[in-house]
Amino acid sequence: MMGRAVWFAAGAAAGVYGSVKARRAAYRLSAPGIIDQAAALGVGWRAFSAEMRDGMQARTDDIVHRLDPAAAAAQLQLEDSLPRKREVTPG
Amino acid sequence: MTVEAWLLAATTLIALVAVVVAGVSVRAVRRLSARLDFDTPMPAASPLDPRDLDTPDLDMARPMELAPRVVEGRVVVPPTQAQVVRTALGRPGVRLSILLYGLARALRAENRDRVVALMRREYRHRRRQRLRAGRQAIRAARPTAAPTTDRLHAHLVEPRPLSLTDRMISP
Repeated sequence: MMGRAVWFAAGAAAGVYGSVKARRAAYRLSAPGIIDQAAALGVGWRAFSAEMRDGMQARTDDIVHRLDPAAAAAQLQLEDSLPRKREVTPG
Repeated sequence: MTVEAWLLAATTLIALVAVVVAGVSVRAVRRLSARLDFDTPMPAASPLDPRDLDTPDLDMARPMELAPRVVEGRVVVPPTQAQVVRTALGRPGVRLSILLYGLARALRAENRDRVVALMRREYRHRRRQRLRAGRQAIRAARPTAAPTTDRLHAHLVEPRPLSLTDRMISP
């Protein structure tokens, strides 16, 4: 009796899990799903490029600081007076 | 040839030499002024570009050995620090290094995970919104058969006429 209940519960869980996965896969392959994936890809690309720009700016600042500390100080003052960059947020 | 003729020839020669020397001098002065104008720092194209910073304070702080001077008849104008920095940043090797550094930083594990999490969250958010909008559209187009509050109130105010079974039960 106990074994039957366990098998019943395991089968029900596997069925629910499989149906959810199948529904999600079907949505992913549909036209709205592809559009949503493209939008998410765009968000990811924007975040990646923003991070890359930050890294390049940091490297440039480092080089400028090594070559000319006075210019680096002036640059830091100028950056402090500028408005901050926007954060990349989804949606 | 008389003495007057010799004097005339000598005077003409001296005048010609003087004219040539004057021409060479004027040319040299023009070249010198043009070079000084070229080496004078141009005003910044954009006030937001920090690399174009060439403030008077920095110029005044320039040491004496960097001042323009004439060496062996040639004007030598050492570059300013801003020009040196700008030139160094424009070299292909430095630009490649900057690009590679940015790429390496963007591909770090924490940034990679953050970007992937952002993408996943955005996809789930859009999917939920779309499914919710679909359910709302279905409800609006096909109302359910369950009695709503308005229908119950209407039934209580105006009772339906009794059916045949009801009439048989209640005389």
